Amino acid sequence: MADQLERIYLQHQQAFFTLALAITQNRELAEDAVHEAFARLCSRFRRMNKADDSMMWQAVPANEGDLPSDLVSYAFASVRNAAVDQIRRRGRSMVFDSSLFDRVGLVQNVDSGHGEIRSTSQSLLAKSAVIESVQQTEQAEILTAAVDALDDSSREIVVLRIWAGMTCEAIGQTLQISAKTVETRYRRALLKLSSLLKGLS
Amino acid sequence: MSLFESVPLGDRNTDRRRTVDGNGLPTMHDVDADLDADLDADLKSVESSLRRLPLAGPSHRLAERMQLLFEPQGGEQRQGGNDGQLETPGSLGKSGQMVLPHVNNAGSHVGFGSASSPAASSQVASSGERRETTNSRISRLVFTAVACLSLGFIVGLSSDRLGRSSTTERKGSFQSAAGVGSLPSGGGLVNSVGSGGHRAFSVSLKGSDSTGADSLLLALTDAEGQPIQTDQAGKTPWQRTRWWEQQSGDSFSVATHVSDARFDFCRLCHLAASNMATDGSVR
Repeated sequence: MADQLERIYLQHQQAFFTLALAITQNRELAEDAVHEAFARLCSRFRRMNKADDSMMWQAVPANEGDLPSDLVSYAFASVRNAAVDQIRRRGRSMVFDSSLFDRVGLVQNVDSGHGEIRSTSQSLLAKSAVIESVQQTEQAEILTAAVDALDDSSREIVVLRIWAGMTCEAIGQTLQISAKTVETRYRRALLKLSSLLKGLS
Repeated sequence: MSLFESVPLGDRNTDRRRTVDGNGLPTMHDVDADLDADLDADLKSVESSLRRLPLAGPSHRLAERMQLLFEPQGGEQRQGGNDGQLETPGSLGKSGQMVLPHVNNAGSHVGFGSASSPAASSQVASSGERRETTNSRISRLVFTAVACLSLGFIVGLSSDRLGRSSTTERKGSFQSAAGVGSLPSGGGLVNSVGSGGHRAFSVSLKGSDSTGADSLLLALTDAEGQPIQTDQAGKTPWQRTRWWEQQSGDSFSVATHVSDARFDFCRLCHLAASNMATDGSVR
């Protein structure tokens, strides 16, 4: 069972962390939440292993090569609950300004673009490529700011849909809402982001 | 004029042909298929743009912690306490105070504690379980302190009584006092000061870690810090009380041992002491 949990974590570790970060908006709390969630899961599965009559235990497929989607959703729900717990427990003393995105990576993209300008300054093609790169960087910065500014529920859905690759129904199971609600909120979030990008262009 | 946009029924999304489950609800595939079909090019471009954004990744600390959690030994859970609760190592509380398995010189796991203080012997699991462990430990300490305070009160009261009786009845001399107890975990110093009715006393619990044993020294001192003395037989007041209980078959109780103004001594103890002084019997 621990092997399955480990595989689930390794497969979705970035999504777990991004989901926790979307909720806590604090890197330390997000890391604590992910770790705490899996510590709880390990403990729970160990207890169930002893009890030997658990529903979750039955949800584990006989073929260990297949990871049950229920278990993945369950792990995401655990991470989400742990993140909410972290905020309740320690939120008052923390600062919530962590972005979901690696802003250093964005800046590095711009810097590397300027480097290309210096090295291939005679090439119009290269210049246009760099300009396009800068535009994309600006667009990315707008997008990151817009995603960070989304309301909590929409941000969670966007994270689970885009970066966890979950279906609407799986997201609904995780957040305990209907798949249709997930679809509606996701569409609204995309429309909001799209209008922001159109305003930029 | 209607407030709502009039949409032909055939164009409604809900009328699209789809598969339904046993409850007549659209299946998971249909919801996602509908979503994909309904998203126009703009929204799909937003989706693809979002997928290209560089995400903030977890630090290496989390990877190390998770590795410890999933390690066969690190993930091994121990039976904790007496209520069957499981404790999981490798968990953490505050950032930077991750609970790591203690590793001895040979590199094998010997226990669990805080990474910020590896020498600590705290055994913790997830945050909730660790809180329970801490709470149980605190409750044990509080219980021990209260028990010692009660013990000290009784001893102080009895010593006060016996001490005064020795001056009036037996003229005994007192020397030193010490008792031995035990705590579930070593360390700690508990001082409790109370009044035995006439004399102040204090009880000190001193943990002993040097030998590795969870031994506890119970020292009784009076208000001046002098040890409460024993009688000629080397018995402490507490031991004398136990002796009186064994001899009389009665159990010592502060409530029943009311102070006698004439002798400044509780009646039963005075009776026992006087009988013992006269003919050595306990009546």
